[in-house]
Amino acid sequence: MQKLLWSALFVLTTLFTFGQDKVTLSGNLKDAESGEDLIGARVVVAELPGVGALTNDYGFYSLTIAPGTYTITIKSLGFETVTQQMDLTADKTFDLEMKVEGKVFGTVTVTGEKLDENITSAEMGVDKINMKDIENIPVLFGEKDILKTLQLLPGVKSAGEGSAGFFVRGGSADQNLILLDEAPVYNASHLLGFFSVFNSDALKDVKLYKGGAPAEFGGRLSSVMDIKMKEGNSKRLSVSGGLGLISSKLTIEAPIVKDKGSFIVSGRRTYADIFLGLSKDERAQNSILYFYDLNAKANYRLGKKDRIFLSGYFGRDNFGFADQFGFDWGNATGTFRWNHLYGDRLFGNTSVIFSNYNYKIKFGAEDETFQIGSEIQDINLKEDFDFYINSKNTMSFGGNIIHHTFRPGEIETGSDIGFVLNDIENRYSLESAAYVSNEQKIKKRWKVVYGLRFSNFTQIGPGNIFSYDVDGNVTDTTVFGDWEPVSSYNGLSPRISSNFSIDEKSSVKASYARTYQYIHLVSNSTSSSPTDIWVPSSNNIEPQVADQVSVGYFRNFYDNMLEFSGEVYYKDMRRVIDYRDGAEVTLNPTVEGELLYGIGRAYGLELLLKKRRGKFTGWVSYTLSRSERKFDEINDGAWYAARQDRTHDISLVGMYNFTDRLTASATWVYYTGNAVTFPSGKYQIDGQTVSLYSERNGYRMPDYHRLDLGVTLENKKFKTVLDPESGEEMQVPKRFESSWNFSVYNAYGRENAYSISFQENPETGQTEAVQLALFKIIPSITYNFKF
Amino acid sequence: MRTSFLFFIFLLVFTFSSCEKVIDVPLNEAEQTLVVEAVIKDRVGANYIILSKSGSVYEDQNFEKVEDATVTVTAADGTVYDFPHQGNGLYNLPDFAVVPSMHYDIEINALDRLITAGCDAPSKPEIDSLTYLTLTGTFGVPEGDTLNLISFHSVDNGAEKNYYLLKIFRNGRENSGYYLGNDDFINGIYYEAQFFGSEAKPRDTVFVEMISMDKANYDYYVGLSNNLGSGPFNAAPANPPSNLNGNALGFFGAYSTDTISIVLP
Repeated sequence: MQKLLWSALFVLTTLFTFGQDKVTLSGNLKDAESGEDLIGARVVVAELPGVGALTNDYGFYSLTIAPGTYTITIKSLGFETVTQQMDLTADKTFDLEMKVEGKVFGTVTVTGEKLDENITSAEMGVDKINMKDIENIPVLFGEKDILKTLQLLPGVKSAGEGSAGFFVRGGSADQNLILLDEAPVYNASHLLGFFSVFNSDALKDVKLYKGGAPAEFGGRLSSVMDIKMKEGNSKRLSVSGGLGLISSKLTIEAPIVKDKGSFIVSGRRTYADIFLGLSKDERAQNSILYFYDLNAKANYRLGKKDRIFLSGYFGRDNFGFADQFGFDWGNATGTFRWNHLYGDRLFGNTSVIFSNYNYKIKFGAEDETFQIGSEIQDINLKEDFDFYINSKNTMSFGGNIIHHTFRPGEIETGSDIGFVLNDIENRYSLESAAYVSNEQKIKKRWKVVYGLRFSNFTQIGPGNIFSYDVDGNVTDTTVFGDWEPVSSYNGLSPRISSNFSIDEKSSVKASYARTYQYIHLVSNSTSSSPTDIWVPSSNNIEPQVADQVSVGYFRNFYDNMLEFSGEVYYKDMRRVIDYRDGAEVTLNPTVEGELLYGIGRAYGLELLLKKRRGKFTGWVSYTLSRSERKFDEINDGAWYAARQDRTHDISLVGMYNFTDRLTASATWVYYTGNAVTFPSGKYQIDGQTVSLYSERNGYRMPDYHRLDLGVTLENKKFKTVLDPESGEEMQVPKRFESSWNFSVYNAYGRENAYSISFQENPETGQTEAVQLALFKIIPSITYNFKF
Repeated sequence: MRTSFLFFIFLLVFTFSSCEKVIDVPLNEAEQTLVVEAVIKDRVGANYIILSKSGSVYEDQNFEKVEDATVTVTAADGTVYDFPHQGNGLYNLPDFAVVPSMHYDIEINALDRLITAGCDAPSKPEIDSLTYLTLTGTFGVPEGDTLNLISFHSVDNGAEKNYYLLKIFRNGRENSGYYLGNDDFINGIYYEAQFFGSEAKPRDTVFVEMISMDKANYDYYVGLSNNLGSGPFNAAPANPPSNLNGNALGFFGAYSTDTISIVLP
């Protein structure tokens, strides 16, 4: 199959390259101030309506047209538009550094650029966040968080109060592929889910595909979140940082060689434990509780055609009590990339990617210790190409192979313990994929992106591989040697999305995508936990599969000031995973025997109305949806509401620029309570009162709503100096920028239920429903600076 | 780079507040059903079979007992034992004891229904010894206070898959928690386990019962501990998986045990 794909590709490539009398304009677009590559900037030809090119993830564009004299316009959101006459008689390279718009003496310039990307692009089911909005939107403890801000968009739901975990279109949290510079991040939350691992100071661009992701991506059922780190300022040394209530951060970026290479290092650490040290309570003084993140990236341009990047992330949570108990967990990722231009129309990127997530729990001190650990580790080799065939076709193709290592349980004892415990055996697998995708302008108003992704997952030895009966008991054990295949699965995922522009203001889009998921997160707790483990597909676990169709209508009003979109989707899921009642999922060598397999369906309507320009900006988003599961062993095989099922989900976000120094913002969210299981009786056994359950997820938590408010005050951006030549007063921008951010989380103090438990009242013996609410009016203050 | 003198003002307004309150949650009523707790052990006097009925969530604790049932236990060697009603829902045969490694079946006729179950009694486990570590002012023990951390020593039977339940009694009273474990990490080896959370005071008498059970009973106890826990880091709530056939809640267990006691100085 793979062979077939590659030969098809070869035929296509040769077809498109021969016999054309065309010229190619290509180059790189950058931010003039920081030297950062511009992603998604547009190159438009005035004489050829509908013909243009977009820059890729590395700021590269390529446009092939007939020779002639053209008016070339280059636009990017937030930058001054550049228009230039060009005489194209032969292939030409044109690099440009674009200036940030509106940086003129404190006045806000209104751009004349048409912001109609949402209408003209074939992409649908995509949520994008402007990094500037993240700075203004109020969040818990003032910790800016891309994952929390994304939850305010339609189809993306928070996993719970203050949680960085999220559900996309009725899928579970582990069905989201979260990529940081191409490396998967296996556990994206800190401090039991209240904060995400992403330090927004180090990030450049975030995109979330809720359905219809390009064929380049695969491996998860529900969504792809593609996060890119900043490259670092290649013009000058720049330092920025922030001091917050619970954490501080510092970012340093500088050129390695001006305009050729740069680096960025960004760190963040919380200091809740510093306050614990001030406590009078001895136990609190000896407690350890903090997390930190470190992002680093460097890039260097070797020549006109080659560029290399090295980026990494390292973050860890530490929790402990004196030297007697320790619990720490975290991710480490690393990406090495090499960009190469094979001619001016073929852009290639080779990546070597590493990702690791592990946790360790340690008891005891000195040589009397007992330590439990678990780990997942990936090494991935990836090759991607963008081929700019002509002004109507842009092709992407490539492939990758990942070696996964799963260490479910490693146990170490100190030398004084006197005995050695057995580890749980490691598991190994290879996950590979090849894809080809083409974006084609069929008619002036009709654009289609179509592609095919072929994937394979092979479980390999060494190991003692178990087989199970229907009740989950081990029936057989087979021994496999190094690299010996145990089981193998193939997946063929067609992807297609189409955009038909009705006129310049509106378009209709439709998409279909099939996705496969070969590794699964085993977690039987209701919230995400650091000890949740990933298990591979195997002789016992088949991959999960989903098909999703969606249709959308997009319309802009008032010269693209208002943007409206409405999308409906239906997602069919097969072989989704749940657990047997009473399942033990941590440190269980036969965890595969605890799993159940069923089907799922999710469908909904998503509406978004956004105001993009003016003093007042913001959006209203509404989602009406269902997400259901069906397992033979649960609720007598009937369909039931999944935990991710939320009937209504509303977010209102508003930001108002009073002056160029003062911005106020407010968000209000409302959603239907999660589906939960409550008891319908009780009984006594083993001397204890036990709840009797008759139905899974048969009840609802109370509805959730919350208002957050924020104010950002920036210092004066300009200072008055005397012009040395004319002696007149003039305003110049200040090098040092700073701002204060004040915010209030849950401003009207709504007691939202975090959990409801049924407890016996110790005095009366009666059972009562006790609601726990976590955060009631949390004010916070943050100071940010940059120079 | 032009450096500026940075002066940071740090303001702490930290009103992290969580709050608990009793709320009104209307619940559906499940049908009242039979609850079976049938425990037979290899020690005379340690057996009990309790039959009761479930109640509604918001009712008080007086669960109805079932007093007119017939209970018989049949050993794999063909011997049939009748367990007569002893009052208050308790059925017992005072001089009965399980023979380790023997299979037992139970038959209960109660509330117009027949409940059956089978269980393999495991081989007899052996406790090697109990030791203790005296803690003064460490491990969270306040200065001037002395507590003893009890350690348990045993050798796992490597020839079979073992599931253990350990109960600890202090001065004749059972501690509220118990310890559940299997031999995944200790198969066939000598091991030591500490009873964290069950520290004893000087001059206490500590009694430990080690119960060896089959997988079905172990799964029941794991399910039971999940059922009793609440909060976001616990499993989705569910009834513990029962090994009973017929319409009833609960379990039947035939256990092999070993016991040991220690008097602290």
